[in-house]
Amino acid sequence: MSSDSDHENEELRIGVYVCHCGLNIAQTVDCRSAAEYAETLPDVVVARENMYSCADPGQIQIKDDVAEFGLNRVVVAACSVKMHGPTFMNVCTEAGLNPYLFQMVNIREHCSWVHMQDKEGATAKAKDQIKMAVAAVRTAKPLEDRIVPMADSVVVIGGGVSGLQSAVDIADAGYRVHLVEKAPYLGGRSVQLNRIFDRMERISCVVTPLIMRALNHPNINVYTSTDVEEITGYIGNFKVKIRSLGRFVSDECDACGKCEGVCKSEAQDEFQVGFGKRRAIHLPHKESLPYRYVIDPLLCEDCGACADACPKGAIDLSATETEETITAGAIVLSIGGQPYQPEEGNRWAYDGSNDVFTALEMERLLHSEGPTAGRPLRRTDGNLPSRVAFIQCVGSRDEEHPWCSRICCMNTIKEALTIKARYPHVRVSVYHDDIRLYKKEHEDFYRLARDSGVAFLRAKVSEVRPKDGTLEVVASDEILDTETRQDVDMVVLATGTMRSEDAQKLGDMLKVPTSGDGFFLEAHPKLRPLETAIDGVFLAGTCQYPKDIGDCLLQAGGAAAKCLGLLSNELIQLDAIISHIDQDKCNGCLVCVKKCPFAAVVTDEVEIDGKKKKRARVIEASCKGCGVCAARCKQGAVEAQGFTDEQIDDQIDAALEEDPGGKILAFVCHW
Amino acid sequence: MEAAKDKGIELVTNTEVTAVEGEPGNYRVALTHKPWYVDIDKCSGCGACVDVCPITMPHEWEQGLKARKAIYALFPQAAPLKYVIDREGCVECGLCMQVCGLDAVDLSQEPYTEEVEVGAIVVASGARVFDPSVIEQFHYGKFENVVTNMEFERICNAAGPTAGELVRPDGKHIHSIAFVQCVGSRDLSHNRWCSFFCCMAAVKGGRLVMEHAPGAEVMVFYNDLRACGKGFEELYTRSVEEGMKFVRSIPSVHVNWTSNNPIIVYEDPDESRVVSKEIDLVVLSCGLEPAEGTSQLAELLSLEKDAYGFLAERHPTDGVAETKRKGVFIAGICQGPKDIPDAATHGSAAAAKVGVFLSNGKPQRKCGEVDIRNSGGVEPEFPGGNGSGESGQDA
Ligand SMILES: Cc1cc2nc3c(=O)[nH]c(=O)nc-3n(C[C@H](O)[C@H](O)[C@H](O)COP(=O)(O)OP(=O)(O)OC[C@H]3O[C@@H](n4cnc5c(N)ncnc54)[C@H](O)[C@@H]3O)c2cc1C
Ligand SMILES: Cc1cc2nc3c(=O)[nH]c(=O)nc-3n(C[C@H](O)[C@H](O)[C@H](O)COP(=O)(O)OP(=O)(O)OC[C@H]3O[C@@H](n4cnc5c(N)ncnc54)[C@H](O)[C@@H]3O)c2cc1C
Ligand code: SF4
Ligand code: SF4
Ligand code: SF4
Ligand code: SF4
Repeated sequence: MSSDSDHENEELRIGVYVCHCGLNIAQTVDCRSAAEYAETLPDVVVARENMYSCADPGQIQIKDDVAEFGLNRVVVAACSVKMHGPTFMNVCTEAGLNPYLFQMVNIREHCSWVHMQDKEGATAKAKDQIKMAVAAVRTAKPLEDRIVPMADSVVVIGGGVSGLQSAVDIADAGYRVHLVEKAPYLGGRSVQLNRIFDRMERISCVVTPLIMRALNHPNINVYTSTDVEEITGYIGNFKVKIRSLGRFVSDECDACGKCEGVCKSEAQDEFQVGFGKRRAIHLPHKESLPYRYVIDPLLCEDCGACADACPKGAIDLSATETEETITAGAIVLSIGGQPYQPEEGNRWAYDGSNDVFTALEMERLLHSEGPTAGRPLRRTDGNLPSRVAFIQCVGSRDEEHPWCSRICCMNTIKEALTIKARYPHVRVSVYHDDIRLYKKEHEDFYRLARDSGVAFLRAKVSEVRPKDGTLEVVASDEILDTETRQDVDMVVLATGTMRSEDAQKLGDMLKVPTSGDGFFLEAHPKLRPLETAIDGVFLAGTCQYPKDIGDCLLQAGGAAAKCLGLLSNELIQLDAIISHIDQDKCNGCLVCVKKCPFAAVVTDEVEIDGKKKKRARVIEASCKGCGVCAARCKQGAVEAQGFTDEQIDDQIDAALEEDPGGKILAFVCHW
Repeated sequence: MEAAKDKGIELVTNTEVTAVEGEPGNYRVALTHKPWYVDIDKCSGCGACVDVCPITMPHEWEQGLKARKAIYALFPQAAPLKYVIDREGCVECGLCMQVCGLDAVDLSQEPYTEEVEVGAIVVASGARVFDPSVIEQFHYGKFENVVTNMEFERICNAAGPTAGELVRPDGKHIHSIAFVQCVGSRDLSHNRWCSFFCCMAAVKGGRLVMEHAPGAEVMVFYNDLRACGKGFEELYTRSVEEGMKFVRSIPSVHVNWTSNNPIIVYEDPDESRVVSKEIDLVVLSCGLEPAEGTSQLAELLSLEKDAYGFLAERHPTDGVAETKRKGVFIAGICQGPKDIPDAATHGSAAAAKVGVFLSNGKPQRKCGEVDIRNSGGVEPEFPGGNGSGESGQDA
């Protein structure tokens, strides 16, 4: 690779390629005229049109031209830089050119597609875009990609079905996995459920074996009652600081339960979603894994009664929180979601004390280990209802929660069928808008419910009114086009799924963006549903969008595959778009150190004229190239590589050379 | 595209699997390469041969909506871009041989079989679109301007037969369109399952028409709108706000022979009366059904089929990417209908299972570096078509 000064003295020879993208661009932009225009720009040696620049003939053309015309800069005017930038950077590399001596502009999305009705305007804009790219490429400098080592371990955050599956797949391939779970037990939401649609499997047949595999796996370190405190680092080398609350109960515990009887401190049992109480020392649930008691430190009064009662001496009340920092090459986010809980004064009369239940409460009622041993009894009088109404889309598909929670239609069919199967005389109706199903087997399940006598009513419920011992469901029926009223004994709300309460916190820590619905945002909705905007961070399960257990397991397997792909390399290559600080220009104000959102700028002590001075330095591997430091530095000591001040100034000049008053120049983020 | 560039992937196209032997971890697979009649190592994809070929025939990739020559590229962005001769049409005039500067045309090629040794097999053989001509009330195949959703995809595609102009088969511009949902799906006399992709595909198709022809009338005849994927409900609600009409009714289709316009007759649930309406194009949202060769493929690989005729997964909850046969994995719509995100996720999950299966718990790390910049280099499935111009949330 030639040095910087070589490049400065070198004569510039630029090649410009204008892509038709079939007709995607060519139907709006006059590509011929754009290419002819490009040829008139300074230092442009050759400008061509291509049918598909990204297809083989287009790529070969660029390589041939580099050889034939001795090009040392390349500009491609085509589609999304995010999508095909890497393609053409590779072409440059293969042609023997440094891939950063390249600029690409998007004249498809930014030009052709948005100005379809104005062909002349679109062509003029495309020419400006090309002119700006040529301006920027003229002062582009060759850059070297960073090579960083890849740690051979993964941290999985969240131990629900998704986290478990990712952990087991990665561990089975031979890598170390650290599985971090906030709750004292593994399995997440799934272990609260009664059965899994549509095969009506028990959780213990599907999830328990998975939990056992994770717990017994030699390559998996399981941390329960553990939260993530801080995450720093980057792909290949994340540092995850975790804090264990401690269980206060050791492995010696064989769950005899003697302690529980002596503990006086009580609270609502969150596992049973508020049905019944639990003690400060408790087994989270009957099939809880790890199968050990745990003390809730917030509730514990430190009386010591349990420690005295324990025949195994398993209880140590003096245990303290522990902190640990683990290194990981990649991270799987699998923190799940959270069921919608109706707010006070909701129109379904849900208040937690009458006979209106949420879907999750119904799961507990139907569970043989639940508060009613599997009988869907009324809260008010403990009687079996004879009329049950399900209401769909509660906390979904409304103004505040504009998404569909995907699984609640199937869940209602499952719960309705369970009630029908156990108590055929109970009249079950379902108030719904659309019934939304999404797998090959689902339609049969829905048909079975209809054939079993579940009444599906296409009606919008406006209100549920408690009325001496019964509940009146007021709805407007879409088919009959009238208001209907029905008295029932029990109402079940098909409550939707929202993002987890920890999503914001972890999203901020990792800089993983969320979509409008609050769930984590995938890198591409169709083609990269498992990746995030942050390299090395993958998504699994409900934290990305509500989904059923089968889909969680698939996505988790997919996320594991992505991790395995990375981990199979000892070194990986990262792009060179980062900042560089010239310590001779730096005056030690350290504003960049404070402002870097990724803690990538550190302070060096250097000796200048015999005095110790502070100077800033960028840790290359941690830098994400956001440019915040460059924007902040008043000394002009920071250079954002690939986006230098010179390049941006030149682009502004190029854009505004002609008719500046008639143009709006937008500055948009590269990321 | 990405697959074509990846050094770890050998892409063999125009090839069929004809035999599988061996055991998990050690399969011998016979690949029968069909002749291209063009030496694909020599062909540069210049296309000079196409200009001279005198034979014109219907283009199956364009759903017959467009013609092609007997020597042709399957589609212009095909990876690898190579030409192939359809011997059904070729009259052996030899013009292409004369014009090809690289001497790539070779009419003497014969099919040949090679055996490859692999550790695991992933079946991702896709599915077939339902043929609506068996449902009389839609008159598909009888009225020119009644098309399937598959044909509509090609009409919308900028690289398709109409060059992205929204025109119906008889050449008239489309200003009003009706989508009929669940054609052949959720129907006990045809396919009893839901195909899941077709509701959102109609919403996206409708949006495309509204974008191309502002003020266009778009109607969707449906029963349940299955917008249950990320961002789907939001896109659906936005479409309703922007004027797309959703009518819960199953129409029948007639025709005005003078204007060649289809007439849809349906019961308007709002007004409780039968309405008949003349429009420019009817799109039948046909569902997916097991592909033609499913039984042979199942037999070849000793796989089971499910109750619907798709290839069966090992277990519907925790074995969806595996089959009952060890070492043989499954991905995509050959296992059951899905949309692209679900199919892509399924594929990744199968990749994980293969990775675990082949590693046997002993990881092998490569010492060289890998360029993760390339992980972003993905190609959209439908360039410019079916509303993929909308980014982000839109499925
Ligand atoms: C009422 C109801 C009924 C359902 N019925 C069915 C059904 O019949 N069939 C079916 O297939 N699916 C069903 N589902 C869906 C199913 O429960 C979910 O798909 C599945 O449990 C989600 O798994 P997950 O691992 O993605 O998330 P979760 O199970 O929510 O797991 C996430 C885990 O992450 C942990 N966590 C959260 N934050 C942190 C943090 N900061 N640090 C560490 N750990 C953290 C949580 O404690 C939890 O254990 C139902 C859901 C509900 C609500
Ligand atoms: C009209 C239509 C519109 C759609 N629109 C959308 C949309 O807008 N959004 C969306 O998300 N999804 C959409 N879909 C669904 C989407 O197309 C599928 O989810 C996706 O293509 C499934 O991918 P696949 O790889 O499983 O199968 P396929 O795409 O069918 O691929 C299977 C491949 O296997 C090959 N093959 C078959 N048998 C053999 C054999 N024996 N040997 C070798 N190769 C073989 C086939 O030639 C084919 O190339 C649409 C589908 C249709 C029909
Ligand atoms: S020490 Fe805490 S957990 Fe033990 S009995 Fe007392 S209150 Fe309960
Ligand atoms: S899955 Fe059904 S109940 Fe749930 S939000 Fe979607 S349409 Fe409503
Ligand atoms: S560009 Fe500057 S502020 Fe941004 S990550 Fe790098 S060092 Fe930090
Ligand atoms: S996705 Fe929609 S159109 Fe397709 S079969 Fe299902 S309900 Fe019908």
